Amino acid sequence: MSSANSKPVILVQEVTKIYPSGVIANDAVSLEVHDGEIVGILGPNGAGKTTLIRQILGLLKPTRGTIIVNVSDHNAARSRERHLIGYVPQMPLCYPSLTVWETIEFVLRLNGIRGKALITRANAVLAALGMEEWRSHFGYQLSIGARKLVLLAMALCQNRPILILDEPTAMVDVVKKNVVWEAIQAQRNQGCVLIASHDMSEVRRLCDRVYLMVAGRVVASGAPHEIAALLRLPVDIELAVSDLSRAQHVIEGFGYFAQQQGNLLRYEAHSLEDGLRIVEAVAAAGGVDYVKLEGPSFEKAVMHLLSRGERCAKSE
Amino acid sequence: MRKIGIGICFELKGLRLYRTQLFISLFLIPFSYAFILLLSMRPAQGQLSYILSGLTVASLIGAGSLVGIRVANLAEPEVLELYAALPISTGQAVLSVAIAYALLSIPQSAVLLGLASWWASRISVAMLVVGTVMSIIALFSFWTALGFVVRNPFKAQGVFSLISWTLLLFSPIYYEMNDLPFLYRAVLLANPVTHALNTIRPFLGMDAPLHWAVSFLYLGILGCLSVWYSVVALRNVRMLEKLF
Repeated sequence: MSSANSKPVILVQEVTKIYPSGVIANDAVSLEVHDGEIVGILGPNGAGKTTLIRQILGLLKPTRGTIIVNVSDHNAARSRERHLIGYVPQMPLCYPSLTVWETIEFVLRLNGIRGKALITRANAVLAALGMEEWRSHFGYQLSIGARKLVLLAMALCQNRPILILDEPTAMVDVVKKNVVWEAIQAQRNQGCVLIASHDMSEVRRLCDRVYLMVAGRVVASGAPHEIAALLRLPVDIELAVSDLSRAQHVIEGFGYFAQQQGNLLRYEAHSLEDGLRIVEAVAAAGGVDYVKLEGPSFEKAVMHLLSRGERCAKSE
Repeated sequence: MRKIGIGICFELKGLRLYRTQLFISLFLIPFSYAFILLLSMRPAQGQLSYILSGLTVASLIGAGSLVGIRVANLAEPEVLELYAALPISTGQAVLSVAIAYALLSIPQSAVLLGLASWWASRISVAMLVVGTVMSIIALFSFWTALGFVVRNPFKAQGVFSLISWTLLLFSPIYYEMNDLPFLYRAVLLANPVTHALNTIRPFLGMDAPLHWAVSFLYLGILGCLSVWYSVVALRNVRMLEKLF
């Protein structure tokens, strides 16, 4: 867990990244990750999460600001950091003509591990991620989600003290997601983990602290439940009802207005609880033929948050 | 060295999937061509040796272009990102690829040059080996540098076919250059393939358009320049922009 007194393993101070095209990908971003912590960077697509990670990895140079990894100056110690960081990139790349087992073997042999130790460690990581049945599959035969798991296995098998994961469970099925989350949790004992994600449930489940990034800036940070409360993720609800006017009346009673299209009513509830309460009330009032709940839209939640911030600023 | 060895081992392992394709392009097609030559040119033994040595260098151009395509793949931003957290540098990975393909092309070159030696008027084995190795190093370095220039395997497949075709057309692989017009000969002498041939043919007893030492020097300079460019390119690899 976070220890404010200990020196951070990853320290990002006022980092700004401006691409040659003039695009500001990161704007004075600061964050820190301590030993034993799992820290999330949460944000919609294009928020600047991947750019920040690439700078921490040394793949991109910050325009301004400082990045310190493992208490060493980042620019000077990049080659040493290669041996400290396990990394899962966003892009689900793989070695198409190597099997899953050979890919892990390749990584372990590069780390100087051979023989029995190699077999033990490779088996352990495949078991931890529930990938035993894929061991003889070639990279080209794997689904995108499975490729992502192979990348995670490559990172985990190296036992690095710092693990950086860029959307580790994107395109991974729900069952495997849980397995992956458990494996990431176990990394807490190994060192620290930094996860970039736009999956609120993933961040809630795994992280001790979260940095919310929007348009290249950190707009909020705190414990996952604090961020979740701040966001109050909205839910889009679609109802097909036989008695439209009655249903509309019920919805208006909750302070919402539903848009009508044919016999469909669409509205956006502030939270899942609110939305379900209204569905129940409409069902009790005249019946519901069809319901569709669309998962919380992160982008929309962030827009709400920002507009709320702007409203507050104006009122002040 | 250990990491390069592992890289070579897994590069060769990865080629298993393409074994039929490799067998066809590295063995079947060249040897079918050699077989046809043997059938049709039986009386002109000197010519046989000339054509077979040319075929050896032509095959090296083909294998070299594969190295170039792999290097173009390794220089892609996503692949650089994949290697970012592996304990092997991009330079080591590139070297592994080049050596793996060089190893693949050795058996074929050995058989073709063995056949060429059979009909050669005289042979200097040591210099023939040195010349072949020199050609492989220079040509593969050249293709590696081209891979860094293109940095896109899809583009490389098209561009490199065109470059291979041009290199083969404007070189005395299948024809003599002595009786050609001066300007055309000058063009041929600018082509590294001409010099690769000139580090092999004199040691099979054939006349050369210029002294073999000049070709060794040419290939040496080409190899050094290519390696220099590749090292500079490695240091300046861009992933959205410059790495540091």
